[in-house]
Amino acid sequence: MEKEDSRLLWERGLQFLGRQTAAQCHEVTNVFNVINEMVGLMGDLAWGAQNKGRPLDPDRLVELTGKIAAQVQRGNTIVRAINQFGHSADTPRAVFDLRAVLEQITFIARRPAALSKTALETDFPDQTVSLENSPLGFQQAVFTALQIALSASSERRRITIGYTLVDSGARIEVVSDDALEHHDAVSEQVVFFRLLVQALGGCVERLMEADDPHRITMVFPKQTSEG
Amino acid sequence: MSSDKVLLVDDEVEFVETLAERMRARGLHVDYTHSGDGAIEKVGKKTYDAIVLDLAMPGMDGMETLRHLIDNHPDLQVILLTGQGTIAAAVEATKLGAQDFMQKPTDIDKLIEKIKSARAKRMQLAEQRSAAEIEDILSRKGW
Repeated sequence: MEKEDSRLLWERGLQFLGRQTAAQCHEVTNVFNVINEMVGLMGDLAWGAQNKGRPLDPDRLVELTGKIAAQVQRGNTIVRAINQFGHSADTPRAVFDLRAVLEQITFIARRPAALSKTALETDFPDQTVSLENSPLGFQQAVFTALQIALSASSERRRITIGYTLVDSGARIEVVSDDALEHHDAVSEQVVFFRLLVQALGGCVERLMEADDPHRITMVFPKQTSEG
Repeated sequence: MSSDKVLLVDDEVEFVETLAERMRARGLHVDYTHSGDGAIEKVGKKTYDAIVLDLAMPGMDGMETLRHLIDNHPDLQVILLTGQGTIAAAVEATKLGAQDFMQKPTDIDKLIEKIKSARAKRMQLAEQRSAAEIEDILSRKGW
């Protein structure tokens, strides 16, 4: 591999790890915002009872504490996702469960998709397979395919991430309801995507082809040789 | 004295509904919406003393919403709510015409102070415009 390509992969990998971790931290801030307001409201109700003689409604308090508990759960889920995602970078090569990692990256990707007003869905079979590869690099490849789909679609509706098992490994698909157009804005992303998938020992099978403009498909082997 | 009229714009449903309830308990007249499109529609129908606008929203984001609102309602007073990662964007937005910005989580008392300042500024702009219109009429009539 060319030195320049190695450097690009390394830099982009760091960017991916940093940006998506920061984005998930923003999501945790949203949880704190909600809890902050709900706790503030409980404080307002208590102040009203102490200073204005307004009776406290126990049902209202139960409702609020339930909502706060739900937000705490939401925050926990996000922090767990951040933790798992961060640990993806622990080793450059590991054996991982395909379905579990795809679920992880789908969770990470749901907010960027929502900001683009796109529903992100999954279509996973019951069976899964273990792949030996870079967990972080693999997630970055799937995420990049998703970013290409978001950039290449003029409408915003639905994108589905799915996989099928093949003899050699797994075929991962990012399918858009709307036809994807290969224009200047996505060219650079496409070049990087191809480089990344190749570096991971995989191949890009379909990428916004004329006969199937809705689909980005990549195939990864169960194992790749090191180096 | 009439109460301040505020429009809250944020896609985080629980956040905006709870903040609205707290503000109403403090005597403000509060509407809310969860999208930039919703904000544009409401501002087209009603006058507000201040808009409290989240920067990061799906679809039409806060910045795009701000541009649209300021272009069509130059006297509109917009207070931005920002997270950690959007402070630079908030500073940029004040150059576009936003009145002020606050970081989340918000202190409701400070937010209400900013809303009152926004109302005072809006009234000042309205008075200046009225005075200019009166002067224009007087000069055209030669009085």
